[in-house]
Amino acid sequence: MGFKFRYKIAFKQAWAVLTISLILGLLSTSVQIFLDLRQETRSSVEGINRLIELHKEAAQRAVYNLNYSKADEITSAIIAHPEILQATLVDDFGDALAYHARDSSAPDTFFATVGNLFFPFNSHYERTLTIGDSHSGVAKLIIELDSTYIAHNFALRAVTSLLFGLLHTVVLASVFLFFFYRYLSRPILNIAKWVNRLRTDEDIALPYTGCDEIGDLVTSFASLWDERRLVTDRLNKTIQKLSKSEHFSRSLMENAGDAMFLCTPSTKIIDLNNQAVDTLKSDKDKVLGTTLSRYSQNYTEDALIDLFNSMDEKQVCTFEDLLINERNRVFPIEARGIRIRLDDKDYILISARDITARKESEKQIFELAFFDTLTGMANRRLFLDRLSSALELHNVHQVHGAVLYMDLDRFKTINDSLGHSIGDRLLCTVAKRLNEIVPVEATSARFGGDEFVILLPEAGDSRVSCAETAVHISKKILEAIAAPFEVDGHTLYCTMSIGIAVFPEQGLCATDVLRYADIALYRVKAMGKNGFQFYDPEMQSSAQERLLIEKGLYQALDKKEFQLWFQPQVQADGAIVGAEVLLRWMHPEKGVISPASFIQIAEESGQIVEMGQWVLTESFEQLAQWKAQGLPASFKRLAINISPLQFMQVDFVGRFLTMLTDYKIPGELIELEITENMLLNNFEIASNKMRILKQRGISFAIDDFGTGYSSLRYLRYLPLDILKIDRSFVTNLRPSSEEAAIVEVIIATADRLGLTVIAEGVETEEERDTLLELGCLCFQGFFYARPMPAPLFYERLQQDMDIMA
Amino acid sequence: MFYLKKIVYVAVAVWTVVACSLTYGQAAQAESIELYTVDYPPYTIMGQDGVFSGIDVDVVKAAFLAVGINVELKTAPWTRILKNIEHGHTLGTISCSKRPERLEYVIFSAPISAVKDVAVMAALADDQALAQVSDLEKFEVIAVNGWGVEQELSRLGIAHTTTPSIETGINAVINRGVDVFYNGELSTLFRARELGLLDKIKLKHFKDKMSTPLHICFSKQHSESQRLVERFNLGLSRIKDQGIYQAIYDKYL
Repeated sequence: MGFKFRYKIAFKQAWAVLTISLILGLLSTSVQIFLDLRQETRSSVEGINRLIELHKEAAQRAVYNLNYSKADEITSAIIAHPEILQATLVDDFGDALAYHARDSSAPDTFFATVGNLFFPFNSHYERTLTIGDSHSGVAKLIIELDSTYIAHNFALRAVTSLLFGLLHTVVLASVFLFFFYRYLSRPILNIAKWVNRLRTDEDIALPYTGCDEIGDLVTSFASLWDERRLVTDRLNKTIQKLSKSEHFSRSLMENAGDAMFLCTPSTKIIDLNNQAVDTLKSDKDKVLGTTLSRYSQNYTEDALIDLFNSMDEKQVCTFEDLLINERNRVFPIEARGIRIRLDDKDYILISARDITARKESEKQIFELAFFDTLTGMANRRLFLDRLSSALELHNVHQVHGAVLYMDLDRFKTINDSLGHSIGDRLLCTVAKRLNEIVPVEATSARFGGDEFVILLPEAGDSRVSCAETAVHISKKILEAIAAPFEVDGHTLYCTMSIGIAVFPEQGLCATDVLRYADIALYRVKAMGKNGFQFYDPEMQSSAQERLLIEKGLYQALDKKEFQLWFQPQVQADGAIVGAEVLLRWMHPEKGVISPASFIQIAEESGQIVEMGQWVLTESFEQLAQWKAQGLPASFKRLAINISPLQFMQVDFVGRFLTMLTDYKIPGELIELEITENMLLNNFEIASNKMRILKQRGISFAIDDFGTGYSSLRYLRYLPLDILKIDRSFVTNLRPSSEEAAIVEVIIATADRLGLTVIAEGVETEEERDTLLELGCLCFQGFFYARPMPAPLFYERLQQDMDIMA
Repeated sequence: MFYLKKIVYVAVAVWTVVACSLTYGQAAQAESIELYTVDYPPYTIMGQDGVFSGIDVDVVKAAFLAVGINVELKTAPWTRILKNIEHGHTLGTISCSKRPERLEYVIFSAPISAVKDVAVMAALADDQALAQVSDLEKFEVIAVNGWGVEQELSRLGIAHTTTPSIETGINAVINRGVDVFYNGELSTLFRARELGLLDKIKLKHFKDKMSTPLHICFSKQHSESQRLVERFNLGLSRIKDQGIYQAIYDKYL
């Protein structure tokens, strides 16, 4: 710690003080010399002036008196002054009255030369003396100063001043040097030595204890040193631990059974362990620098970055992926990722494990747990799970489903006689046929043995439609099973019994539904097998009824069981202006069946087309007959209902127009009643067909207006003529009721669009009056007349004609 | 004799007054000149009121008046007067003796009066050893500073001291023990009489010392000098002829 003297602070400070003092001293001395120079010049001038003033009067007298001796005395006295070299008194005649001179009293020294160089001044002085009563004017006192003397003296003073200034500066710098060294440099040196010793020694006495800035510095440093030493000790211990831990971690990572990747948040791999290299079947150097997404099958790079960004430092994120290694083997992994922070940078540590074996096991377990090993169908557990889900869903959405519980009749006989192998293969074939029948969304299961269960999760919007669907599928199943099975050379004939339960039902759980279906199945067994039964008896009869109707419809036309009935449409004065053609099925066993009971079935089965054509033909024929017999003038048209399926037949318009021509019936006598439903999905086609028929005078009535979408769009853009108010608005219609308001709006709308309004279902006088009051002028309903066979209707027409006649 | 003198004085005075009054009109119309002089009693006496009188003054005035020129007198230091004359700044002065150094720049008029330098000594002083001017070397001599006598002493190499005036010179002889006050005879007597010290001094003539005539010194540099000299000389001869000159002398001595 020994410094050369010139590097010590004291010396530097003293040197700085010396330099600054010298510069400042030089500057101040220069200024002082400059001022002194000016003062000297001024003093010299003033001194000369005073001297001249002193001798002025005497000189004037001497000149006036031309007193040479006096003049001589004056000049002699003047040159006695050391700064004056010559003195001349010139009289007013220009003659020198007296003159004195002497040699310069100053040697021509260096100072004199320097003084003359920096002290140029006027050494020649002339003072004019006024002489009274003089003809020539003025006299002069001429003085020549001794410039060398003055310059010498001035330079001597200046140099003396400089020397003293220099001496003062050097002494001052020396004093500063002493004090700086004593109070600053030496304590700092001691402190520096003390600091150096602190590295090796402990508990060293403080090098400075003065109560000043240095003492404060030493005290503060000592306390800070102690604090830092404690921290450093702790830090060193921590580093040692950390080093061990890091080594441990490194060994752990390198020898871990899992593949470990250290990635950046951008999925770039910056480190990986041996297992990772082995997993990817690649070289470590080749993998380093690539992205993990390169090996991922499930994640794109952006998706993987998003996944990494979602990871934090506290929670391990587990995810599964499919990796592809360098040998193009794709295998599943389970990865655990966590965000770690190293050197202020974020990294993602991924620990991945090949879970191919586990996945396969899981798959096996899943299949064993949820599927029937023989047929591949769902087992009881999976079925119940899906049924439970469907129940929950249906309770919320008011959708209905059905469970078909079935088994093969006489399977035990086949099994026992032909062996389990044949039985099993038969079961597989049955399962295959079932799977071919059931809808995609359905779940087919085998509960064991020959028990099969089918879940139809969304079989209809209502229990009835749901039951119909169930029946429909059950029939398909029965038909499919009825076909013979070829198993190992054996032709086997089987039948199946099906128990049906419809859900949801209040308070039923999945097992309840299954139980109900099972009960229904046993009921089938009890009733002779090879059929189906609903758990609910009412639904069973309904289904049977439907089957009966559907079956009957096929024969009804052939057996001429249909009849046309006519319900009059009257105007306010009771005159019949038209009639609606209504179909009646004159069932041989059930009697008259109204269309409401079979039309929907006919539509669903497609029989409606044939039925509709029959109605049209019969109607035209009847109308042609009446026309020939004579119709009242008030009779405007015959209203015929057209089903959507019939109307949308490609050849409907052509056939209809041909019929018009064939029966020679003017189109104005025909009114076709269509429903809103027909227009829903086929607006453009229906509209075009209507316009073609309209050209032949056909009228169109929209039936049941107000019950469907009641879109004003139909009213505006379709060639409609009549708007029929549905009976639901008319029944119990009273003034100021909500229905009255709706009817009023319908009537007002129709009126604005130029449509005729017919109210359906008018059954009471009050209803009729209210309708009249609301502006409806045409009615149809029991209040006027019930639907009636053609002869009766014509009689009624004739009565009207008679009345009018 | 006494009465005769009185009558002459009165006559001169009357003539002077009458002459002055008679010539006043002419003088007022004629030229006037300015001359310088110094107090050199009895030749020129400068009064308290600044009016000049004295033998030479009266003679010069009377002589110029006789030729119709009026004279105005002013005073200045003697050396200055001479230098002014030398440079032509001054017309002339009353009265100065003829000396070689003055010949270059002075035109001298006819003599007005004469001065004779004597040794003025205390009345009781021994003057046996004093016969010639050169004898002054044996005595402690004093002379008026700058005057001709002083210059003469210097020229002759006779040690002397100077004194500012005749009074101080007389006083030096009487009271300060100075042996000889070298000065003009008439001026010394005139001054001693005025001071009442006439009886305390005595005058010793030198055998080798002649009277020195006094003139008006006109400047050669002055253009009118020659003419005025001639006019003065004419006037002087007239007053001498008329007895005025003598009357003036009588008046002062």
